[in-house]
Amino acid sequence: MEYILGGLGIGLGISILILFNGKILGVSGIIRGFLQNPVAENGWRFSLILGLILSPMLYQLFYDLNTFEILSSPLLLIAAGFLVGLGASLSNGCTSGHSVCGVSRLSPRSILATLIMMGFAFVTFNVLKFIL
Amino acid sequence: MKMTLNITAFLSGAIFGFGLLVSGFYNPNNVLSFFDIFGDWKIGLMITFILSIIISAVAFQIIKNKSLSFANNPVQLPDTKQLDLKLFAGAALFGTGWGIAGICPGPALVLVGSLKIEVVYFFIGLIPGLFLIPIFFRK
Repeated sequence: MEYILGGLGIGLGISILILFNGKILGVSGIIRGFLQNPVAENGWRFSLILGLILSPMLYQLFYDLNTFEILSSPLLLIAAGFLVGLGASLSNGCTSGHSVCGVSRLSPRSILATLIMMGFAFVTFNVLKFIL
Repeated sequence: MKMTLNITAFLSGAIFGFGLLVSGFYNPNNVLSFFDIFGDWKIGLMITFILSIIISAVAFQIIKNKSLSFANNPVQLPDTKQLDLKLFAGAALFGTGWGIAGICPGPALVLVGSLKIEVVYFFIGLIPGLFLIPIFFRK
């Protein structure tokens, strides 16, 4: 049930942004745009980032926030963040922009990017699990 | 006008984030379980992923041939078609990073709002990563 509600939320969020703002919801591109564009052009990016950051408050109206720990070490988190940032900027998209928006538009670039992203994530996870 | 666009962008982010929270996609441990095909594989996030694609596909179908959105803003859809090395290498690097920690940019912002302080380390890597390329290839 939560998986279905989650899919509805993600799909609805993407739909609102394209139907009203005419923009693709790609979080890596939005963060990058926010950091490099003049303040005057950043209203919608700032609002969207704020919405994402405040979403746990909306969630808490209905559910308790899960307690869990981020288990990766600081060094691994920095390395992971760097690879994710570099990769998203090189391929022009991340999970939201390529794997949800792009795949739903049947963009060949995004479908290929998604298969490669997931393939490498599966391999990396399992290799690390084996050696660590 | 501008105010409307800020409100819709805020709602979009908040509802998208709600979806990440309710599905558990924002929790890196769940994402890593999704990658754990030989162990305790949790395939449930696939349902979330497929459903979000179906709903988005309807929205993109509605907007496809329009030049203005419902709030009269220009519609910007990517028109890049090239399947090049940048795309493949970028996706491979992204996947490697995603497989290490189970965090990608959307969930990272939700983790900030969930006060998971450790996510700061992810951003310390993410932001230089996002800006390294344009220094070498000027766009």
